[in-house]
Amino acid sequence: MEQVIIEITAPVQKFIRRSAETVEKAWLKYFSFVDLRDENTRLQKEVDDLRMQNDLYRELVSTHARLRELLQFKESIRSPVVAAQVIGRDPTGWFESIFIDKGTNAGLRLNMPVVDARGVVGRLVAVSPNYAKVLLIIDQNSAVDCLIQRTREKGILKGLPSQLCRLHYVSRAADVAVGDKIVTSGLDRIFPKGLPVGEVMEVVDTPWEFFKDVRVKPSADFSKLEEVLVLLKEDPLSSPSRKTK
Amino acid sequence: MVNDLVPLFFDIDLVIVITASLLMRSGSAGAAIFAFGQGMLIDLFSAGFLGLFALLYVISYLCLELGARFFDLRSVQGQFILVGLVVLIKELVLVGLLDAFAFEVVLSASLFFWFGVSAVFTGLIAPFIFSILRAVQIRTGGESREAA
Repeated sequence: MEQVIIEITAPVQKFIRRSAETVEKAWLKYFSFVDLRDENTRLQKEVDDLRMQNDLYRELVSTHARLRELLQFKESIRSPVVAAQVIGRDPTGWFESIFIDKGTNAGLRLNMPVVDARGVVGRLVAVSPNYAKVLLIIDQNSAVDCLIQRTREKGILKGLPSQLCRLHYVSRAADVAVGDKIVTSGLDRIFPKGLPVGEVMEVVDTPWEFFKDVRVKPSADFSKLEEVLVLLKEDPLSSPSRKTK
Repeated sequence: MVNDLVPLFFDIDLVIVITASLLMRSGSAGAAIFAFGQGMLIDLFSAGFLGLFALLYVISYLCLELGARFFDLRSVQGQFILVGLVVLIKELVLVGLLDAFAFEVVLSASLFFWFGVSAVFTGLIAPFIFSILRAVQIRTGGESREAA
């Protein structure tokens, strides 16, 4: 009799147990889904934070590399320097200039040379207490007295459009070849002698011209300027009465 | 060499659009002060000779003032034509001044083509900027009336 009752009620009990289990599982699943969503949001935020931190570290590594390069260059220069950050560019697109975050308060004066780890960048053309404007050597109004390092031929480097320069007044008899290094001559009394300026990219010798057409690719990458060094030296172009106070 | 310069010549001139809008809504004085001020500001931040852009935008303002007698600045067509024309004149005067006082500008067909494109694009966006500025003016006017 007992076995008969067990045989009849067992399936019912089994059904009830299974139903309870299903409901329990569904209930737990629902809660785990709710938790999962919260956890997913939390993890997503964590991933975003870590990604941001990673970007920050990459930026720090890149800045560190640039500053190390700048420091090495600084050690090769004898005159005292002030490091500055580039904070702006010429808004017109017709002229080539940048703004830096140091001015007369940091000892900057007009016509001081500006360099980066690769070479000459330009010179200061306007200085306010906390900012300064730098005329880049690729501007058409800029002129730097230069030498071809290998042959010591002289020329005046002037800016051209499209981030290139032309070395003017190089005689047709001069020995100039593609790849020759161009350095400052020091004769303009603005840039110290021997600073790297660029490399000869193209030489055109036209028979009816007095001078060779020498195109120079500047050493500095003007599209990626971030930090520069200003060489602290007196403005050679100003008389004592014209000095900036 | 000129091809490398092409993007340089493409210039959507918002200063002229805003000057035209001010001329229509706030009158001559406001527009002239804005044009001169913006020009001076650009001069201060550029390596060009001081006063170049101030002069350019004052000339642009005068052209707008003169052109407003022939074109209706309240209509979309008037805004497009006048702003486009003034941008074109500004670009031509700029090249003339640069060539005369700063450096040699290589005059070429592509240079004038991009000046034309700049004029057309600035003319095209002018009605949108006009409507945005009008909306801003209505909103700020409403707020100031409420505050009063």
